[in-house]
Amino acid sequence: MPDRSVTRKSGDLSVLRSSTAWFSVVFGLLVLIGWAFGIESIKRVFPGMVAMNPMTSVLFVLLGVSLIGKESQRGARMNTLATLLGVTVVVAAALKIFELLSGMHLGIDTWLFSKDLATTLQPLPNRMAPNTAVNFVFLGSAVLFLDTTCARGRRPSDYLATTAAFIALLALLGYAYRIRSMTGLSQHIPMALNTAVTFLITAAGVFCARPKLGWIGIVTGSGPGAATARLLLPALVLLIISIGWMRIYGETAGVFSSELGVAIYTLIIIVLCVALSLSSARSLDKAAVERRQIESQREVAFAEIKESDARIRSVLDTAYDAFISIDANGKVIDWNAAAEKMFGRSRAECMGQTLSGLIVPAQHRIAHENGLSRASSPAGPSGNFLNRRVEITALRRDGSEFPIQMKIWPLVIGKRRTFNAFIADISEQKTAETKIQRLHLELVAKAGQLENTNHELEAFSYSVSHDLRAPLRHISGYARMLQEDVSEKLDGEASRYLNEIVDAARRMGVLIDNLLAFSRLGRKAMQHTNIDMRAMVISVLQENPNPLVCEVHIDELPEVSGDPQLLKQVWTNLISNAIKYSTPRGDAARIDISGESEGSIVRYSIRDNGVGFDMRYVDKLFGVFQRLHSDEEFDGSGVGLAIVERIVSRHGGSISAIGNLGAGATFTFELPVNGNPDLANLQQIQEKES
Amino acid sequence: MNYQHVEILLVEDSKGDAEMTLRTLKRRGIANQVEWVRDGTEALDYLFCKGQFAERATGHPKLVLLDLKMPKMDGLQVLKHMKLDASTRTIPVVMMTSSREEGDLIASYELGVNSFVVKPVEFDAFAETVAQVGMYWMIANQTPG
Repeated sequence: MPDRSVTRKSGDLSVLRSSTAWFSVVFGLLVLIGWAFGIESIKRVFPGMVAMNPMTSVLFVLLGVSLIGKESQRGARMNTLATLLGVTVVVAAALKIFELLSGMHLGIDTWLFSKDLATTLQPLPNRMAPNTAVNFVFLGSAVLFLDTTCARGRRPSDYLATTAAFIALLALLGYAYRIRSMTGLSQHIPMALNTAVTFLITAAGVFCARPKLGWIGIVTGSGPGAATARLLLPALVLLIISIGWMRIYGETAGVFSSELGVAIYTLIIIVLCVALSLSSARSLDKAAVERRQIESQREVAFAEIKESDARIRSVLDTAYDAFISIDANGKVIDWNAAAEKMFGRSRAECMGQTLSGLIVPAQHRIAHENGLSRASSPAGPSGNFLNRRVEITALRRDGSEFPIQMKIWPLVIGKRRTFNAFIADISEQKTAETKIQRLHLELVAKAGQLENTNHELEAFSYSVSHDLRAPLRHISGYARMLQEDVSEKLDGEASRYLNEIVDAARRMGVLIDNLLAFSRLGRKAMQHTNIDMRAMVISVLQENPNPLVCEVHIDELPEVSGDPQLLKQVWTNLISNAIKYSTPRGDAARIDISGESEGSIVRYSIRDNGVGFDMRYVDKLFGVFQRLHSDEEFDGSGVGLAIVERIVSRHGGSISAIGNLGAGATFTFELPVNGNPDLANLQQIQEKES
Repeated sequence: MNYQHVEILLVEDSKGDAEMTLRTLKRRGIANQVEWVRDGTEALDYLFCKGQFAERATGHPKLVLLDLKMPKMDGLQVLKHMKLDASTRTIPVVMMTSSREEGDLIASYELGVNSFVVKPVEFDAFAETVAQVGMYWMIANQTPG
């Protein structure tokens, strides 16, 4: 949990920061009180030791206040005051140094409590020690330069405070090891013990004033190095001090000789240095390996990201639809190849541009901007146009407007919100839709016309059946009445004429009936059921009114789906034709009915060995009132095969005939096995249209 | 004006058909008194004693032979009027037409026709049909009143 430890350390430092500066102030004041009231224990800690000079304590107070002022960073006035105090400390200390060097007596350190100072001669007259004065210059300068940082991040205050700390530490060690020369300069008064301690604490306060900057920043940092430094630095300093103390103590107590002491001391220092060097070398190596691993992982991840990015890019650029991405401000952040083609604008030209100025037609611009601000609201993207297909228009570079269909979806990654859209050009679709609509309208109009035509046809066939029959009936009726009334006066020939008139009228009646039956075929709604064709053929043969003289052979016939009434009509007509035209063969007449199934088609054939027909006239066979034989030869109206052909085609099938004059005929018709009412209806429409 | 009781009202615009019908009915001895009117209006005038028939002797015919297709007012309209009026509703009406049109057949029966007959083209068949219709409705059938 490095983060938490850093937070804790920083907290400690902030407490240390204010308390060290305040220590300097409070301790300085305490010593002054000690002077005022002659409390020796405050002035000098231990009896017989050097007391802190009153001016030294005054300077500590000033230095502490200055440091508090600097570190608090509370406005220009506080800063100016702190600077003034710091300058005072430095100037006072510099004057003391000048006094020492020049031999002039300025009385800096005898100005306060001069009477008391005059009486205190033990062991030396109490003055400000030279190293104390130097330290005030260093620490005062360190406070003054607290916020100065030179090239390469070097901070003068670091150097100044460190030097001061070492001088104070030197004095402290002197006291600890009882080496007089280390506490002061030759004949001069040494630095007092409490002074040295206060200097150390104040130096620490200078470092703590800017805990994230300079050397102290190394210790307070969040990295593993800082953690090690936090642990090692105090431990190492204390350890070496203790070892040194033990050496001195051992030597003076005669436990070991001075040479041995040096050797042991040196050995321990070497061991410590070697151990530290090795361990830091190892941890550096380890860190380097880890860093390299992380770097290579990062490289791999980066390569993967690049690859996936390239893949996405290629997908986007291959996409048939345009892909456009914008940020929350409506600026384009992606624009694929299809978009370049669709809008006639290059990616480079569009990136970073406002979308509404590029492709949004003027009439949609306000709606676009409103939508964007709604979708970008801090509450989260909203808008009924998101995540669904929207049809709208867009602008090409040339200003032409065209219909598009798009789907916009918001994408939130971290705090960044983007809007992405796939856009399809639906101009062709729209054109096709319009065309289909037009065709549909045309079709509806045509169907209406067709219906009108149908009605007219119905009315026509109604009049035909009604109005043409009445005169026929009259011709027949009057001829018959004449016959009845004057039969005895007519000779045979005249009577025959009258009979012919009656017969002609009857035949015309039949023709009219057949014609009507044929025209009704097209209009009759078809039913579809599965039909057993063999059973149907047999029943047609049984219902044949004339006695059967010819031989009829019926094969297996496949089932089919169709209108039973209509298909029965087909068989009736084909079979009666076959019988009729093979009658001249007498006993030798033979009819073969067969069927086969081929995929979704069923095929039926009826073959006779009758009179046949000339293949030259085969195309006339299925026409209405088309006959290949005279009425004298064979009775008939010429409608039967036309009816057959129409029924077969209404079923979606076809019929063909092969004839051989004098040798017989074969009629073959094909039907879709499952019936095809749709096709049949379509054919019916086509027939009517043509 | 004939004051004998009319047995059959023949409504027929075609002179030929009317002549053939009348001849058959007379020759076969089915009806002696047949009134022939030429269209629907005249038929209704006759039935409700209006217009030229305002002065005729009261009483309804025993049978109406009604041609379907006629100028001015056709057989279906005449039938409708007859079946709507209580006094004429019980008179049997036989619709005579030249062709079997499904629509006409259905409409006639919905209006309450008593018979629907297609006139054959051939005279012999025609005469036979008329005779059978006459025989049935005039002799075999029983009507109220």
